[in-house]
Amino acid sequence: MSSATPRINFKYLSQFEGKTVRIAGKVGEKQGNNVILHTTDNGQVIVDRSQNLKKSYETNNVEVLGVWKNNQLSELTFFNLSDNFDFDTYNQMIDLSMEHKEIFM
Amino acid sequence: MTSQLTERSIPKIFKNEECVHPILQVIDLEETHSKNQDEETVRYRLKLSDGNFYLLATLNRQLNEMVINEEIKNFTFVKLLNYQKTVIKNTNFLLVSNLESVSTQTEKIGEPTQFTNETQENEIEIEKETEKEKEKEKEQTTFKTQPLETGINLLQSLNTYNKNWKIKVRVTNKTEPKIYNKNGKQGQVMYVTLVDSNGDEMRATMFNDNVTKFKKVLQVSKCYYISGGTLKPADRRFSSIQSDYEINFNNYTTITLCTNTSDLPKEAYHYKKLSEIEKTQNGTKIDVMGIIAEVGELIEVKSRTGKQLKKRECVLADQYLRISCNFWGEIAEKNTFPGNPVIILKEANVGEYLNKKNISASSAARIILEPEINEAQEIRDWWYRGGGKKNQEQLGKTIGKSYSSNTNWIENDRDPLCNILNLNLGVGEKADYVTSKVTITHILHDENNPVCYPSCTFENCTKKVTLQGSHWVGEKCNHRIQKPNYRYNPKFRLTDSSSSIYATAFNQICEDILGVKAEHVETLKQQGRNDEFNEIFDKAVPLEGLARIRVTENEYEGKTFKRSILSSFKPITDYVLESKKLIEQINKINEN
Repeated sequence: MSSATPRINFKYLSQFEGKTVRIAGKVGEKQGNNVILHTTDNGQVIVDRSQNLKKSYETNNVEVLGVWKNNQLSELTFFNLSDNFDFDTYNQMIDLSMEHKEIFM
Repeated sequence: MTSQLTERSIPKIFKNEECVHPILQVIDLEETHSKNQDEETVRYRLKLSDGNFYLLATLNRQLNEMVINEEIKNFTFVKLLNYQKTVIKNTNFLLVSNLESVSTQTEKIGEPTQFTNETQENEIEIEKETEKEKEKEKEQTTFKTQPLETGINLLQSLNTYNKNWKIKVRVTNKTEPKIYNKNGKQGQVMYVTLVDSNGDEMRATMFNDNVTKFKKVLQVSKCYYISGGTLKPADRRFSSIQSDYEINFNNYTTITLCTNTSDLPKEAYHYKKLSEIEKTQNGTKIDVMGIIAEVGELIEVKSRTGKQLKKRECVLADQYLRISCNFWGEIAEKNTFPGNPVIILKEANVGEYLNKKNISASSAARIILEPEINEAQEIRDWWYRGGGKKNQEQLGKTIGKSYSSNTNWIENDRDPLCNILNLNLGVGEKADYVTSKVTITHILHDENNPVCYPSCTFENCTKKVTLQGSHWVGEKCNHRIQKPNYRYNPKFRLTDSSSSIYATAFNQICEDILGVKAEHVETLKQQGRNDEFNEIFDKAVPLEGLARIRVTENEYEGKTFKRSILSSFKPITDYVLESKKLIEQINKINEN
């Protein structure tokens, strides 16, 4: 049985070592094939874009879907989010969905 | 595997021959729903097969749980312990009141056919051959349990045409003999409540000599075989029992004690939800279930006649409503209700005080403490989760929340759709209005559900008109016009996480949602342009938004049902705002 890719935030990453997850955030500095993603709960995630370099982020806010391993998120794909994306509400939603895992995961 | 099924048991059962606890296979198990005075009953129908033949059967409601927890499912081998054979519309049915699951199986044994009168004739030959084998079997096995009962009528089958009935019942309640005066003569009357193996209840009365005769014989919780007596229609003023008839025990009645009681339930857990009280007539009796949320002190009150009466004021509650519940006399003295018990209160009187419904219980009433049924457990769980406290602020229809018309409805507290039924909205003289967040999941637009109607063109008149000759005439407004307008009135299916309802939507809302006028849609239909017609309705859904629903109750062919009208609809456009609102609601739940 397959389930949807869980949406998480920086603070929950440790629970998903080796798993495929989605994280949203503000696009930060570029470092070669890597990009820093500033998550909605003020974390910083290094995104390894080497598998998906053909496509570029089109907006300042994105949701990245990738595998979390060895302190890096290996990007498989991403989704553009609008510039007035409400980070606060999104963050609260992530917290609630983690609180009620049985409904969402 | 085949040898496990009791051979030739179906023909035996059919012919009323002795067949002790046969093992049969369940086939074609299905769930049926039926409505009886607003109570929906779930019953399970099935076929019981011996590998060669089957008979149609229905499970007694008591056994429903065995299906729900999958003790009984398709192909299961079961041991038939008690049943009654009846004939309905020339078909033989087994009403099963007791059985045991033997083993679960994965396939149907053999290709059994239905055993009918025709089959019976062919069977005689085959029977003779297996007779010898049977004799051997009988000698070897020992029977521990009693044979099945034949010749007993179920309470629900009693009627005024057949006087030769015999019932097997348990007495669940008995009143003290009451003395009354009629036309100068003194008489006495006594009532008992009976329950049979099917879980149905019936009241029995007896007068004068028959009271003397039976008052020592009939004991509460004991079982009896009873025959003889007259049936008369039940009087709801004196009894809440949901039976059409009452029995009068007279000089022809015989009552014998019965010791074979395994098939009779200890209690009949019939009750209504607190929300039913609102539409129950004052002065009639009702059975309800709820938790004792508040218990008052035992006080003394002076009656109109000057008598000193003992009274205890309590509050009975369930997940949706609280109601004032007053106990009088002995029942008030005896019961202090420690620890907030869940109770079924039987034969309570429905009354009203200052426009609010209440219930009272006196000597005729009966309390079942902590009934062992799922719904009682649900109330208990809700209470322990803190439900009672929340109830004090967010009360149901009788106290607090308003369901009246309101121009600022968007700001109203939202109700889940299930509250329309649970809070029994729409029964009063004025319509009730609810605000709900819903998704329009479907708009009915097939041949049986026209989406618009021809309407009068007179100023401010929107009544329906019908073609009469060369003109259109309004049935209700009597206006005559040349050519009608078309106005929308389709049924929308509204769904939320709690329930789904149909609500009729009128012209303005439909124009806004569909984006085209009714005239256009009518033209497409008349021109047979079905694809374009369907697309208009299919692409409008799903649509999430805030709905203002007007609820009333209508009657049709003796049954009442809710009628909902979508009076306003505001699609969700600001998702961030709506998300914030949802988070707010979730946090409120978490606080409790």
